[in-house]
This record gives sequence, C-alpha cells and structure tokens, in this order.
Amino acid sequence: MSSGSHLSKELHDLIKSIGETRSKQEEDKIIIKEVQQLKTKLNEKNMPPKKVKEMLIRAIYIEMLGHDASFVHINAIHLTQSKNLALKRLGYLCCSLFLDNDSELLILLVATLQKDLASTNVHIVVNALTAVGKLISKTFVNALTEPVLKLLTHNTDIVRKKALMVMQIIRQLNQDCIAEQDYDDRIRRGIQDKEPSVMGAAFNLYHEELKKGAVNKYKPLTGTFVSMLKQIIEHKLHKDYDYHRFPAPWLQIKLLQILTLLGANDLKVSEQIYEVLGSTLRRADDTTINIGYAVTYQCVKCVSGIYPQQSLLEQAANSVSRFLKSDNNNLKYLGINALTQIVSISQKYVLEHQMTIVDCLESNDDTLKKETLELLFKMTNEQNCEVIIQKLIHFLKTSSDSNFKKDLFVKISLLNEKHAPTQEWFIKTANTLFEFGSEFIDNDVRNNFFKLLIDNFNDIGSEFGVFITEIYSELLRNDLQDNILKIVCWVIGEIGSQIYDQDPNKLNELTQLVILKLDSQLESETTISWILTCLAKLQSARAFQMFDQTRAIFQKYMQSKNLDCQQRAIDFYTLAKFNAALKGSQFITVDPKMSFLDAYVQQERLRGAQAYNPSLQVKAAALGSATEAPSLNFGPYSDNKYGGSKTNTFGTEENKSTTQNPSAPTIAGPWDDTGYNQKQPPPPKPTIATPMAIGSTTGMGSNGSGQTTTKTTMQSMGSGQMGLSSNQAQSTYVPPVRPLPPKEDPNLKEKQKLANQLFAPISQTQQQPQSTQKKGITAVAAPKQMNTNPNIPQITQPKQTAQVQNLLEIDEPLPIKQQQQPILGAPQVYVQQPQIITQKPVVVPQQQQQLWSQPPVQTQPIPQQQIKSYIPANINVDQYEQLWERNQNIKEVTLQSKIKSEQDFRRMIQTININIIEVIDQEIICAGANAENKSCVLLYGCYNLNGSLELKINSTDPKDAEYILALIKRQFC
Amino acid sequence: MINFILMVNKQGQTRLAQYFQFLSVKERMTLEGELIRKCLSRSETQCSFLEHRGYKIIYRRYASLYFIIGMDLEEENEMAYLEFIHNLVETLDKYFENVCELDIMFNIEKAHYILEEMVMNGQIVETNKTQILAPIHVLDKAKDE
Repeated sequence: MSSGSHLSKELHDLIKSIGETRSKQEEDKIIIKEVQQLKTKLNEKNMPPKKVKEMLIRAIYIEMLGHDASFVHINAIHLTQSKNLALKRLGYLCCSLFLDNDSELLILLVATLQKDLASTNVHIVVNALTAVGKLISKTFVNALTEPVLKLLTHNTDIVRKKALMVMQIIRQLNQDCIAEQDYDDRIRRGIQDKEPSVMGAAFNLYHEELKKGAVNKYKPLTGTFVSMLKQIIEHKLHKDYDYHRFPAPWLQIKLLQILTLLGANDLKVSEQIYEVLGSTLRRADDTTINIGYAVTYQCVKCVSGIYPQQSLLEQAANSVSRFLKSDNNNLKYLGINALTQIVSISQKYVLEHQMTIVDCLESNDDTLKKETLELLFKMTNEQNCEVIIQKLIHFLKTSSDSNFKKDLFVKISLLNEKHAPTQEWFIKTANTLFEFGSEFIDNDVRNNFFKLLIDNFNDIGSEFGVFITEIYSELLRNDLQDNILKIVCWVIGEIGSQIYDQDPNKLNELTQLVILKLDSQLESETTISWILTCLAKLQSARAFQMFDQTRAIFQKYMQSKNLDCQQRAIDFYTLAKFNAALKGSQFITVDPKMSFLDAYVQQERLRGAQAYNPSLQVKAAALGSATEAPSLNFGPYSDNKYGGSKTNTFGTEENKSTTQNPSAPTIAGPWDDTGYNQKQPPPPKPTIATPMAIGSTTGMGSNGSGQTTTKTTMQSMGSGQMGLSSNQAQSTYVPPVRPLPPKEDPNLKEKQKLANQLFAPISQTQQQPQSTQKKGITAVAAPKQMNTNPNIPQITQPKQTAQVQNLLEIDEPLPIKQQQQPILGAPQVYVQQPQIITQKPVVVPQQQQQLWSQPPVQTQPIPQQQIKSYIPANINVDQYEQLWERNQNIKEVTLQSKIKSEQDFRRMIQTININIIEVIDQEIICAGANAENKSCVLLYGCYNLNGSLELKINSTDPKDAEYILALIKRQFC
Repeated sequence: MINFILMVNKQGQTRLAQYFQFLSVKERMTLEGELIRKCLSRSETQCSFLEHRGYKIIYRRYASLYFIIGMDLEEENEMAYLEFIHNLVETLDKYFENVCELDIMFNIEKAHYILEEMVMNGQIVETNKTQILAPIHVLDKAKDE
C-alpha cells in the first residue's frame, strides 16, 4: 500500500518530497509553496470530489507541519454534506483536526450532524457520532443531546458504544442536559449490554463518575463489576478481545481502577473484591509480557487502595519485587511507583529493596530518579529525614528542570517543617533551600517561614532569637540574592531589634551590616524597601537615639523614584522626628504588662471568674506578624525576655495560685531567667504498664466543655495513649547514626551506607508502624523512658503539665529543640502507697509569676505551710477503684455550694488541679497527687442543681483531704 | 485522559498528530519539537516515560518512528498505555500489512480513522482489532462504489 498509487501524481509527489526533506527549513519551503498553489486552486469551479479530497489531505499536511490553512476550512465543512461515505468522513475528520471547539464555523455543522445522526444508514450514523464526539461544544450541546440519547438503544453495537461515549461528553459539557437518574440508568444499561465493546465503553463512564466522588451511589454495583472481572480473567470473552493471549487487558485495568475506588476505606466492599483481585493478580503475574505487568501493577495499586488485607499485600509485595529486580527500567519504574503505594500501608516492604532504591536514586534515568524521590518523600520519618533532605537538596542543586526543582522545593520545605530534628538544623536547611531554590521564594513561602520563626521565638524566647539573629547577621556578610536578603532583613529587623534592644553596640553593628547592603547590587527596588524597614526597626529599638547615620539614608531615599521606597523613607523619617521630640518625656515608663491590674485580676479569679484564654490572640498575632511582615511594628512587642508570655495560658496561673510558697524559686530552679527552657522536653516521663484509661478519655471527650484544663487533660491522655505505642518502639530504639553527606561514589560500600541511613530507622520501627505515622511536633517530643521497675503499678502523668500542653494546641510546626539540652526536672520519686510516679509540676518561670501574680490578693490568707499544690493523675476507673480500696482516710461531707452544674464542678477540679477520671450523670470521680510528696488524692463528688455538694475525699495523707476541703469551702461555697 | 497522540520521526518531522484538547498550531509545533528532542535524548535502556509541561509522556520507538502519547498527570498505568501504543501499531500493521512510515504518510486519513476508533474523548474505547477495523473497511468499500 505504501506506493501511494491511489493518489494523484501531485499529491503523491508532495508527500514524497515532504518525506525526503532532511530539515525543517526544507520542509517549510515546500509547504509555503504548497499553500500558494492551494490558494489558487481553490478558485477552480466544479472541482471533482476526488480533487476536493486531495486538497483537504494537503491541508492536513499544511496544518500538521505548522502552517495556516484556514482558507480551506469552509471546504471541509462543505464536504461533510457529501453523499459519499468516505468523503463525508474525511470532511468530518478535517473539521475535527482544523477547528477549535469555539470556532464559529461549527454552527454550520449542527444541521448536518443532526441529519446524519437520524440517518437510517448505520455507517452514516457511526461517522456522525465520531464527529460529534470531537466537535461538540457548549453552544450546541442541547441541539444534539436528544438525537444522541436515542441512539443508546440502537441495534448496532458500535452505535451504542459511541453514543455512550458521546453521552459522557455531553454531561461533561452541561450537567443539565441529562438528569442524574437518567444518566445512571443509561450507563447501567451500558454495562449490561451483551456486547463487550459497549460494556467496556460504559466502564469509562463509571470510572469518571467515581473519580468525581460519587462512590457511595455505585457501591451496590460492586458485585456486578467483580463478576465481570471474573468472567474476563476466565477467558469468557471472545478471543478477539485477547491481546497476546491475555484476556481483554485494558478492560481488566479499567475494572480494577473502578474497584479500587469502590473499595477504598470500606471493609465490606473490599471483602467482595479480595478473591477476584487475588486471582487476577495471580494470572497476570504468571505472564512475562508487558501487558501482564500492566495488569499486575494495576492489581498492586488496587491492593494498596482498598481496605488492606495481609495475604494480598504479601502477594502484591512479591510482584513488586519482581519488577524491582528486573533490569528493564520500565519495570523498575513500575516497581518504584508500586512500592510508593504500598509504603503508605506498611513501610516494611521497603527494606528488602533498599539497594535497588539506592541504585535507582543514582540512576542516569531522570524519570526513574524522580519517582524514587517521590518514594523517599513518602517514607520520610524523623530518623531518616536528615539523609533524605540532603539527598533532595543535592538534586535541587544539580537539576536544571524548573518544574522538578519547584516540586523539590515544596517537598523539602514540607519535610523540614515536619521532621527537622532540631531548630538549628531546621534553620540551616531552610537557608540552604532558599539559597538553591531562591527563584521559588514567593510571598507565601516567606510569610509561612516568618510565622514559624516568630512562633518559635515567642515560645522559646531569647535563646532562639539570639541564635537566628547570629545566623542571619553572619549571612549578611556574604553576597546574597534579593529573595534571601529580604528574609535576612526581616529577621534582623523583627527579631534582632528585640533581642538587642539593651545592647546599643550590637544594634549598631547590625545597622552597619544592613546599610552596607544598600550599596550592593540589588535586583529590584522592593528589596530597598525591605532594607529601609529593617533599618527603621533596628532604630526604633532604641527610640531612634542613634539615628544620625540612618537619617541620612532615609533622607536620600525620600528622593527615590520608587514610590514605595519614597513613602517608607518619609514615614520612617517622620516617625524618628516624633520620637526625638518625645525624648524629653523619657521618665514616663510604660508598663506594657499592665501589672497594676494584677491585683484586680487575682481577686476576680478567686471569686471564680473565667480564666483569660489568650490562645486565640496568639494565633491572631502570629498570623498578623506573618501577613504584615514587611510593615513596621511600633507597638510594644510582647516582651520575650519574659519568656514568651503570650503563649502561656492561665493554666500557668492556676498552678501558681496554689504554689505560692517560699520554695517556689527552688522549684523553678531549672528555669532560667530568660525562660527559654519552657519548651524543653519535659522531664523523664513515667509510662504506664497497664493499658491507658481509654474509657475515661472517651467519657470526657463526650462532654467536651471548652475549658482549658479539661482540654489539656484530654489531650494529655490522648497523647499518653499514642505514647504507648511509641514507647514500645523506643524501648528497642537505637539512635540512628548521624548521617554523613551522601557521596556520589557509586561503589557498593557507599551505597550500603546510604541504604542504612535511609532504611535503618524503618527497620527499627517497623514492628510498630503507628509510631512512624505520628508526625510533627508530637513525634519529635523527647523519647520517653520506660519505667525500670515493672512491678510497681504505674500510672502515667499527663505528658506535660498544663502550660506546656497548651502550647501544643497552637499548631506549631517547628519541632522542639531536644538534643542539646539537659533533661531537667526531679528524678522520679516512688512513694510508698499507693505508688504514683509523678514528675514535678512544671512550675512557671519566675518572670511569669511577676507577670501574673503580683502580691497575691487573697481574701483569707492561708498560713504558708498549709499551701499545697496538686498535679493530675491519669488513671483509669479500675485503677481508681483499686486505689480507693487501699486508702482508708476517707473524708465525707455534704456542703451547700455554688456548684450547680458539671461546668462548675470542672472549674473546681481545675482550681485544685487534679484530674477527672469519669463522669456519670452528676457523679464525678477525680484523681491527683500531691505535687511535693506524690501521695495520692482521690475525690468523689456528686453535685445537685440546688447546690448541695456531696464529697468524699480519699487521700494517703489526711492533710491533703483537709486542705482540699478547705480550699473548696473557701472558694466554692 | 489522553491529551494527544503523535507520530514523529527521528528527524523531528511530525507524521501524524491527533489532539483531544485544542492547542493552536503554534503551540502544537513547539510541543512536538520539544517532545521529540526529549525522546531522542533518551537511550534505549532508559524508561519510556517522562513528564513534560504537566503531561505524562509515554513513548515507544518503531524503526525511525516515535509514537508519543501525552496524558494527564493523574493517569495511573503507564505500562497499559505503552502497550496501547503497541496495540495501535499492530492494528495499523493488520490494516496496511507491514506498516511503515510511508504507509502512514500516503494514507494519513486512514491512520486518523483508526485512532478515532480506538480513542474517544481521550479514553481507550476499543482494543479489539476486528471491531476497530470494521468501520474502516466499510469506508474503503464506499470509496470503490
């Protein structure tokens, strides 16, 4: 056939010459000549059909090779009206190749299409349907809907098949053309069609609906799809549908895709799928042909997409092994992708293939490399994140593909936020990332980063501030890209100015460094605005007293042609002038903490007023600081020298009101004046050997009163439960070898090393997959220590006490600095009976006390020695009962109190700072321990709407019961 | 969905192009040029898949002719499409008998018809060669009449 003898000599020669060209230029020459010839030809009248046909074929070439042949478009439309089937089809083909779906010419086709769709000649109908499928557009979808739907019941299978596909397009174009129910009915009839071709087309429609999310609606059809798949794999279809003796592979794949969506997260549906999925996988796996691999791969995706089943997972993992062990890169590619799927269910399957994965990572095939990076991204956890991020940064440095780099940039920042082991590491990684991906730093990235920094600064305090100011002022000494310079300016201006507000020399040094940058080569003038803002911030730290040098700079930029620079310079200059005018009135000291109100606050609190919950404000402030990053903050900064006061809640204050005793400073020992230790890992935590009090947690969860302490307790209990799994993992945990930067040396030792770094953590944690799933801040918390004495009934403390817990409520992506800091807190103390192992209560830093509790105003001063503090004990109901039996110091009273609701009761419990174990109607049981000697306190209370309060307090030390009773009487009666 | 199917030879000359989403002539030319350069730069041992301009590209070489499919990124089974290309080639071969580049050039409209039968709305609708070729044979007869 390749002779082209059926063509006219003209067309034959044209195609031949195109085929013989060896360069684009040559080809263009031929086509340009051809366009001219064609234009003159068009004027000929009464062209025979064969000529018209050839003319259009020439036009196909012209457009395919990149030239314009719009002058023949109208001829294509005319040809669709031909009575000859072949010419008509060519007309339609040309229309679909030449015309955009918005083309105005298409309207000329509607009548022809309508007529052809209604034709009694089945071939004409088929042609018309093919054309409608390509040409239909929103503007005339209505005109064609009716005739197409009619064809769904046509007695020729090819018509029904095409009509189904066109119906799908119609619905995509306009939902309203076919009612949902009607559509469902019609595709259901499609899959029931006796012709496999029609059925196969209908699968496409189902798949699309499922992808759009209409999963529940089609779940009842699972059985139908399963039996279809079964029939296909058992060779029940005509052998024409086989491909290399493999039965209808593309239909199998479509069905598997449908079943995956149906079975996702649904055990019941998945159970229907398991059997057929197993046999499909087995049969596909028996082959050694590509299409068999394609079906195997789809099966693996299905296995990991539906509700997991162990034996299928094993089966799938075996198939994946075969892919990965192959020398063929296509199969490796499938293997890596399949592994990425399986890893989301269980990480253990990665282990077997560590060396292959490392090989793929070093592969010279970019595609394979990218997919492997995706796999690494999915399997990152706390232990291997350093190696993985280094690997990713390496690719960021070396790649030239900007889409790929952008993707890497996003991935690295995500992993860094989620898994960075220390803050130092976080900052350094972020800086490297910014350096090599500076083109991807946009406002969102910047603001997000600033928010993280300021949140951490507020939480941790000046230590962190000094640390980042040092890092960034060091950076200033280098040449910087504008995008990074902006970040540096912000950090120095926002944080440096706060850290060194008492250190004029340092401020001056920073100012000098920043000023130097004005003379460097800058890419854009907005960077100048950032620098000016930074200078203004630095100067404002000392009320513009050292303004002389900066003044000149502002004056210079007041002349700037850039409006933004000019505006800023003027603003800052004016502000400085006002500030200078105010210098005279320096003796007025502003008390930003408004400590003069403390007495009043204390008084109100004692009367039972609600605690002030600043967490909302903190969020707002954090947001504000992020979005208004470049603007100048002249308001009083939250005084971070005092330990990130913003993030402390009244949980702190609770503690204090009961811990006001002379020993407070010694308790606060580990807390230094800057208060930065606040975010340190909590002291070694005792762990429970018995299962956690799940019942009590849920019990409390169900009556979620929004109170701080309640939430705290719930949270601590929740995390306690989570802690259980990671504890076990941690008991076998060996700290990973500090990774070395991966080297490019491809020798085996190096690869082995890399593999170890990447996978060792997975092998350590694989027995406890949950522990690796814990992400973010909780996962980075200090390793918990197992209690060494297994015989002692162990009762967990809440992971952290009130104020630290509350910090966690703020969704804070930066991990806690954990490694270099000493573990603080008193060693665990075992008390005789009942033995509750507790930690010292986390006591507010001294500064905090100054902040919130100035001379405590108490209505009835209590003698010093009587003041006791308590801490919550996390025990379950059974443990509570056991302890109750053991203690016989029960104090029973019925009081007339102010407590008339559960909320009141909770407030009371909160004030004592013990823990609610369970609530049954109006009866509530609570437990706690004396913070000093760890003796146990159990409390049973029953409140009444009329205020009568029945209390039973059972404590190891009778003094505790008396004290608590006195406290309740004083404050709540 | 499938966004386009191309046949481009080693010299970078397009022999057939079918798009399922409209691109202007200029955009098509740029895309085709970039794609063939990328495909040519890859060795036999490298895998047949890549990503380009937000498309997942699957290609396969037959003698001097590259068959290239461009799909949405979320499309899942690359191998199935790689084999679909082979199915297309087998179908062309069945119709043209020992198909070569020139067959497609001299019968470009037929090659389009065959593709139209196999893919509709960017989805695979038919892989059964008998079913694919039936309407094409009808057209051949119509021409003879």
